[in-house]
Amino acid sequence: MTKNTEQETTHFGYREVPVGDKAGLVGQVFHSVAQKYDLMNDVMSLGTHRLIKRFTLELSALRPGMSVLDLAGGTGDFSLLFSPIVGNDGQVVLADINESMVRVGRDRIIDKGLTENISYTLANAECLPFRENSFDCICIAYGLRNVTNKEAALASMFAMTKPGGRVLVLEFSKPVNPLLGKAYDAYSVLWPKAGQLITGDGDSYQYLVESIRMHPDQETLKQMMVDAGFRDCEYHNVMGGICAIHIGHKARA
Amino acid sequence: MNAGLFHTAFLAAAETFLNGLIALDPAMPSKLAPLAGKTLRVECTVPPASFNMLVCQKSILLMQGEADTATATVQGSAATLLGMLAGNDPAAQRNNRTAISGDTAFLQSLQDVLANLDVDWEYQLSKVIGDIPTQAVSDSLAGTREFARQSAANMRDDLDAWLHEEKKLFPDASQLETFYKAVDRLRLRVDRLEARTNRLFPGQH
Repeated sequence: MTKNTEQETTHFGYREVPVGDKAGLVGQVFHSVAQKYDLMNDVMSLGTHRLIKRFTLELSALRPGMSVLDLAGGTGDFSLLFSPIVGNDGQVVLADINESMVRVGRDRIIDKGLTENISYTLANAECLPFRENSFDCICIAYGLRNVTNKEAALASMFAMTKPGGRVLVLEFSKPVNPLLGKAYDAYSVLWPKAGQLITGDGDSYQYLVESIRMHPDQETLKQMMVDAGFRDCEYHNVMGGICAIHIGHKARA
Repeated sequence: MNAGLFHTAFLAAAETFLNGLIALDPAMPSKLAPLAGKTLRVECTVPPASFNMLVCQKSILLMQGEADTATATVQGSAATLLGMLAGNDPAAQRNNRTAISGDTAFLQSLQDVLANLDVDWEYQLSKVIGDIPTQAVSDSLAGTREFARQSAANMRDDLDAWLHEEKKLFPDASQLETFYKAVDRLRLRVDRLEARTNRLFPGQH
């Protein structure tokens, strides 16, 4: 966030907007793309987002009976993966700030017949509405970059994590190889056009491209997690750093 | 793509195949349910790889994971492990080609479940092409199977007759019987001769 003479502002893609407006603007973006969000993800990532999500799941070390928060869970990809692992003794909570996304995710999950251990809630990641020390694992995938105050979100996640639990942050990041970075930049220029074709809303995808560029790089995010209180923080670069999975642990009491 | 992602991709493909098979057996959820929540750690020596098989209510998940969460661990080469898990090679454990630790009863149960996968192919086919065509295909297959069985039996009989009667390459059963009786008679006479020789010349054998 930057201090403006008039009021505090933050970035919304490349634009500077008042802090209070960002959540609404992000909400409009996801409301617009919710119905075809998964299809667009497949187009943008050439299908690899499914593998990356599975890889993230493997890093979650979930076991039967655990409770897990799928934060910014959107269309429910992760909840669908978590549910069979934690089993009926465990609990999955799909939380998202955007009602349209939660509706799509909830309908999709119910259509698959999974009703036993998944619940849904509208929640702002900056001030999660749960008791402290509630979850063995919190996962936020492709969501943190849209949060206005990332520090507050990490602090809130830390508070909700049980001692001994872990938080996983899957997010676009900075390619390690400059050549790959240039190729990726060239490819991502196409996303707004693809978004216009598929969802009829190129502007939302222009925001997605810009928000990825504005997101902190691997080391910066790792430091932010350390500052939030997490221990033994590490990250795994995926596909040469196009995405990164950060893991932070909450120390046992 | 990094190595971890390749491993994940391979496991995802194997899991899709395995769960596709599991979904074809309507009784599978009730067979898997008692094992739900348990994990089999598979450590393959050739090629070197390891993964966890987590049993869920209706499926089995294959994931890279930590060894300490496993209910049981099994080690061996890929071929031995596949044979053992499919229940085709129960001798593998006795022959020390696999090493097992942890809850072996769970491993045995999982083996039983996977080996007794009962897929009703006719039902699956009927969902795609309908009941009447499935019946026609099924009858046709049964007819073909019966024809093949009879043809094989006829071929065996004809070959037998040709080798014994036409080419005289092998003796027939009655000739063999006569030969065996002659051998038996000879053996008895040799035994008697030996006994007589021993009586006539004691201490010389």
